Amino acid sequence: MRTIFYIIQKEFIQIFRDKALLSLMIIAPFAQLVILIYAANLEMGNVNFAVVDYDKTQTSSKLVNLMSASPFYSLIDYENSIDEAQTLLTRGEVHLVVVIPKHFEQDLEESNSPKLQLLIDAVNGTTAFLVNNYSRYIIGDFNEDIVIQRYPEAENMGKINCTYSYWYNDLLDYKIFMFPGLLVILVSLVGLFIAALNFVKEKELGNITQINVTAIKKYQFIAGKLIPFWIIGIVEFVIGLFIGKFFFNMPFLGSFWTLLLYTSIYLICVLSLGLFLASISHSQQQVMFFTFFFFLTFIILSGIFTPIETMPSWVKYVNYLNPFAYLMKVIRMILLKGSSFYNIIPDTICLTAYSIMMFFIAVFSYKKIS
Amino acid sequence: MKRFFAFVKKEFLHIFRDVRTLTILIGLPVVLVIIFGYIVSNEIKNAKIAFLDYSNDNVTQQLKNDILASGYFIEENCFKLANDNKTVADKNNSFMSNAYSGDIDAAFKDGKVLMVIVFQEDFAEKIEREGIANMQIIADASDPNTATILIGYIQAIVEDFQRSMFFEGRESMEIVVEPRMMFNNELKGAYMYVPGTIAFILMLICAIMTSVSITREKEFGSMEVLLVTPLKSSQLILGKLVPYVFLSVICSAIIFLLGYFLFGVPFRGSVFDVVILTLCFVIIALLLGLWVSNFTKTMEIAMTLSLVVLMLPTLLLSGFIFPLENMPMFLQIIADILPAKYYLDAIKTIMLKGGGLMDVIKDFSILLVMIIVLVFVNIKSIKDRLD
Repeated sequence: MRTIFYIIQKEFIQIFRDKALLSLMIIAPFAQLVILIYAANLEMGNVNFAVVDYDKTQTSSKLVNLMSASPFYSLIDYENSIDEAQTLLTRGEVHLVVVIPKHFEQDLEESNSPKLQLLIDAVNGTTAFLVNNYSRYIIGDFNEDIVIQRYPEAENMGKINCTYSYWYNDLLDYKIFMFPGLLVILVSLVGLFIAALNFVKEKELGNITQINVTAIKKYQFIAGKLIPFWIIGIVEFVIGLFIGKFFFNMPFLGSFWTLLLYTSIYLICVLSLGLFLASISHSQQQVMFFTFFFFLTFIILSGIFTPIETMPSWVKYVNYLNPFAYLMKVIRMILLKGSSFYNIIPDTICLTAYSIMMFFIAVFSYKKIS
Repeated sequence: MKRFFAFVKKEFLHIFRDVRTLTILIGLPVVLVIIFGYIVSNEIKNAKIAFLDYSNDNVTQQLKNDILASGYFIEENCFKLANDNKTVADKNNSFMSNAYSGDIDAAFKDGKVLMVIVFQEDFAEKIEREGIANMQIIADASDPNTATILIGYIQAIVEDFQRSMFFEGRESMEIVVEPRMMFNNELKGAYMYVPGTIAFILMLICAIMTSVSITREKEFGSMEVLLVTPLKSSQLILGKLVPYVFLSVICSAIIFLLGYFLFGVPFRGSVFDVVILTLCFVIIALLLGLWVSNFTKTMEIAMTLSLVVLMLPTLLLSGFIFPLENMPMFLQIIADILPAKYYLDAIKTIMLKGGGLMDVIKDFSILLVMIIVLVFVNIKSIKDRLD
């Protein structure tokens, strides 16, 4: 125990000595937290659209007026031909082109199945989906109005009144959603990168050979490397939570201690992974790319940027091996939904087992012979 | 010139000797493109949904069938309707879910379902007699992305259902909307991610690798050795950059090919235009990496700095994952300073939409200006270092 304590002491002295790295370690994550929390927003922005009106009647201009009156749409221009409108689409100046064919009004009046063409820029599939939905909604309303004008009795036809409630985040505030995710990134950065870099640095500069000849046991050395960053990670996590709570007024419905317990188990897992990667690589450059590789893959799979629900179902099984996914899921449950310890028991058991396993892997992969 | 080539050869040897790093450098883009292509999509399938149907008549049955038949949802039974609750529900028409809000909460908290749909008592009858019936859709919005997508599906289904009721017997008056999904008619996610991954990987290789390779020489003291050789400092810098230009060209070619053959991401514009733009971006990234290396002394700091200042913004503030238009002003300004936004914009226009250099003249000229500015910045700071 005392040996571990001495190693920890040594690590802390080293960490606090490198002022540049220390400030980077502290400032960078929080700067990220504060800046990036505003970055994530998948809402549909303003959609610019152009119109190609081959009909040029009252009805067609009424439809265009209705569309440009919508808060999401702004009319950029009338074009004379589809080709001209396509150039605008190519240049990205508009996202939607509404093509009103000849005889549109006439077809409507004669009940002749009038047609309307929408050209939607679908490079971004999500936006295209929303634009399509929303346009059809406006056109549908326009259509109903015309029918009602002709057959007033249609107005009393059955309607379904939908009310939508968004629980746990009723304004669909993306900040509330991103904040826990960013916290996970923040603590994992410290866990994976800094700890791994620190370990390899010792190898690269050659002073690990000095430690190898001492009586320090393998598990003692790994623990001594792990604990300082574990403490730093926890401290950063708590500070991050405070920033979220007091500066951004993030919801914090669940228990602080449950979350802290879970996070500390998580950190052991991530740190062990980082140390494992460090002990199998030879230079800082290598470990940097190793950790980066895992970091990115884990982050994407954990569902921070795109929901896990959109991924194929086998990703769920892969995520049993993805430490980030454990925390990503639970931190949102606790902070946003107020889930209790009871709700996260299965995750806690899996994560604990995984952490213990990872720690032993880290210990066994560290060889005292170079 | 001969000296220069010898130096470049040394740099190449450095890189190719470290097989692990090289493997990762080539492997990372491959894995990323595959992950993005196969895993990230815009569509949710089989989302778990629960119904709280107080009415259970033919209309609600039909709506439920429509919802489940869409393939987006699967039903999860988690509520048992008790008879005595019926009256409670009836009294609170506007808050139909109240009687069960505890159960719904529990289902959400366990993560059992993502959405609950409540139908009012006597749903069909109310439509028939009063002309309106209430239906409540409750989404677990702790992930607003999922909630928005799922509600979009439901909206479209309910809308269609209503329209078909409305136009029954008047079908020929319904406007036939023909949407054409331009450039990407299957709404594939890979279209967004292939260009994004290229920008990201180029930033990684060019900026991080260069800054690290230069600080490495400094940290190990071999920089002094290099400085006393007859090589001019400009040759030294150029020699450091050449191998990474080579590597990044290979990596981007791999990504383009994978995108094309594996995911059918088209290459509609001219290859020449894409190459020109990519080279511009590579040069910018290299200059950025060089610039970082000018004021860092250890690899640890160079890496952390490039990671925070160059990588993350390229990932998040380029329009790669999150659309830029909705971001607050100060983030848009940061995005405006960064090259990734312009590169991505231009590449998408050329590759996916088949535009030419003239269509992206604005992006292209901004990239050129950035190169000039960065060259000046670097010349200034390099001088300081040699003193």
